[in-house]
Amino acid sequence: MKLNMGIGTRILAGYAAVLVVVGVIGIIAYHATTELIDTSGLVAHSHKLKEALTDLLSKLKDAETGQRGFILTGEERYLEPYSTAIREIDRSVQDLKELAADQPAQLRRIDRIQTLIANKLAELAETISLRRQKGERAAVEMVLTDRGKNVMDDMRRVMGEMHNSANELLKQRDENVRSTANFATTAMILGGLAVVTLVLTVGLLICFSITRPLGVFMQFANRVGEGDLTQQAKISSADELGQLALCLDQMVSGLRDVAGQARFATQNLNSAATEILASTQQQSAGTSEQAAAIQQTTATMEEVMQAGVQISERAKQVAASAEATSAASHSGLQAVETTARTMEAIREQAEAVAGNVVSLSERTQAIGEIISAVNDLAEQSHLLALNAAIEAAAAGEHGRSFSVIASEVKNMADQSREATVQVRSILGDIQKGINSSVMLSEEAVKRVESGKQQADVADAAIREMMEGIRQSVQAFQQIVAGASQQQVGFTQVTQAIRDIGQASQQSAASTRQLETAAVGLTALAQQLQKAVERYRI
Amino acid sequence: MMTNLKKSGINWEQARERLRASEHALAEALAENPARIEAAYRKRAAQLANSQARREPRTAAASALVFNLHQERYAIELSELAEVLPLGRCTRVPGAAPEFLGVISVRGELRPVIDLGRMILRVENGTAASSLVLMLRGPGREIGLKVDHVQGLREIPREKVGPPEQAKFTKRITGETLLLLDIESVLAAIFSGEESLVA
Repeated sequence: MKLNMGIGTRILAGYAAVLVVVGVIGIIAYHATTELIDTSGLVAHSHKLKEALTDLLSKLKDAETGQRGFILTGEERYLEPYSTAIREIDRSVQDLKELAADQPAQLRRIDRIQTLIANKLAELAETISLRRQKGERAAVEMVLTDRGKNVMDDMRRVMGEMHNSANELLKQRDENVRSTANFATTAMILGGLAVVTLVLTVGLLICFSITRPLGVFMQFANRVGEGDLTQQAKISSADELGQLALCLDQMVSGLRDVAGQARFATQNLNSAATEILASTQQQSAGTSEQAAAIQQTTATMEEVMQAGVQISERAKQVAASAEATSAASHSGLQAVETTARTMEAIREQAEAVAGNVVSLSERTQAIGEIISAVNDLAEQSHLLALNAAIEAAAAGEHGRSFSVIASEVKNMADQSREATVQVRSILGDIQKGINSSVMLSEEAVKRVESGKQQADVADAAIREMMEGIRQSVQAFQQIVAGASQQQVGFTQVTQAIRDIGQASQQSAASTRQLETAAVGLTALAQQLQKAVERYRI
Repeated sequence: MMTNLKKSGINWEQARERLRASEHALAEALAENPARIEAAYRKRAAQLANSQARREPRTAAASALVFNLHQERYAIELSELAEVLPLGRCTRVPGAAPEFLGVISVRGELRPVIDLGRMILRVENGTAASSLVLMLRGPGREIGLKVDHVQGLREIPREKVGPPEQAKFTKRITGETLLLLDIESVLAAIFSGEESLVA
């Protein structure tokens, strides 16, 4: 019975089926019981009728008893039962009528009884009044007429009939009650059996549909507990168990991840623990090296202190020699200042030389102008000599001696021209010499300027040097002061290194403890790795 | 620096000595010295006498003026010339031929000037700074010939002068790199081409 229902739905459906069956049975039982109660009421009704009859009869007997007592005694107090019965008889008859309202035959009989009662009561009242008025005798005679006795007999007979009839009805009603009770019992037994069967069936079904997958899950959980994380819950349904299977799969998947990570982490932890162990061993070795280094450092510090003393001595010496150097640089500075003044004088003289040479150049220019005028004169003389020769030639034989003079004049003019050419060339040489002299003077002035600048630079350098020496002296004095402070500091450092040595011994002790702890950690990591390897992924 | 100067410095004593010597020589050269003037005169007289002696045996020779046209040397007989003038201000005549330089004023008279280099050598006007003008002598010949430079005078033997070379306005002189100007052909060319020159 594969039902695509939730477990809750399934259980509710089972309960509902059982409830329906139980309800049906209850309705049947209710009906049967109601019927049984009704029939039982009828039986009780019949019994009440009989009792009422008996009660009526007993009251009549009480009335009769009172009458007889009064008759016998004549005393009023014996009349009390009679008067009581007289008061209650009518109500009894009325009750009887009510009880027998559904039975016409009985009503008819009650009417007859009522008539008889009236007769009896009349007879009783008559006898009682006779007893009072006429005495005992008359009353006994009245009784002896049997009138009362006959009425009572009739009444007894009618009542007997009523009894019989009531008994028959009672018997019939008993029968009804029995059959109704039987039906109810049968219905209840059968219904109970049906309910039991249904409950068992439904319960087994629900139980089976829950326990079978639960068994699978139990095996699954068992295997997970043994560390097998490779499996899957093989249940696929839409109900809570299917969801449980999905959840279990997710759980196992999560466990798989966790186990994988745990395995990885433990491997890392293992290697880390090994590394920690190795590093603590290295640290241990390092600590002993440190101790050795501290001893060496202490020795070195002693040497450094001695060296500091030597440095202080040397600094004092150097300061003294720096002061001597300062004095020497003073005289150097004076020499440089003298040089600068000399350079200035040289410059002025060179400039004067250049001025002279330039004025000489102007003089040569005047000479050149004169020479130019002379040359012009020579040219004109030349031309004049030519024209004289032409005139001489035109004069023929008469001009012959004149032509000689003209030729002479021409020669002189040529010589003058050549002389001016020579003077010009010499003047050119002189001008070149003057130019180069001016240039050399300018160069000399520039060099003197540069020499002056060099002297200034030397001046500044020497001043800087003096300043440097002064600072050096101060610095060396500071060095001497610092060296003594250094001594104090070195002493403190030595003390501190001793403290460091003690601390490193303590550190060695703690490193040994750390090493022990690292060994323990390695063992723990291996145990953890074994534990994690229990899981098959 | 100072030692360096001393090393390359001049000998001032020697320099002062040289200055004094040159001063003395200058004063001597500029001074009036009768003996020296006398010597100069004697020397010149001797030269004159020599030239007289050299000229004595020559009979058939003509005096000539030697001048330059560009790189060529030419000569012109002195008898053909009136005078030599520096080429002063020359006024161009509009529309004239390129050989006709223009007119100049000689003592108040206008004379035409012919560029001889352009006429004979057919080259552009020479650029000599001090050009000269040779003025021709004779009636109807008052013409100036512009030349570049005048060298001097010399005698040319008659027998060495060859015949006139037509179209070149010159006569050859045997054994010389000198050409004698043929004035007649030059004038003929000038006057025959006067119309064209003027035009």
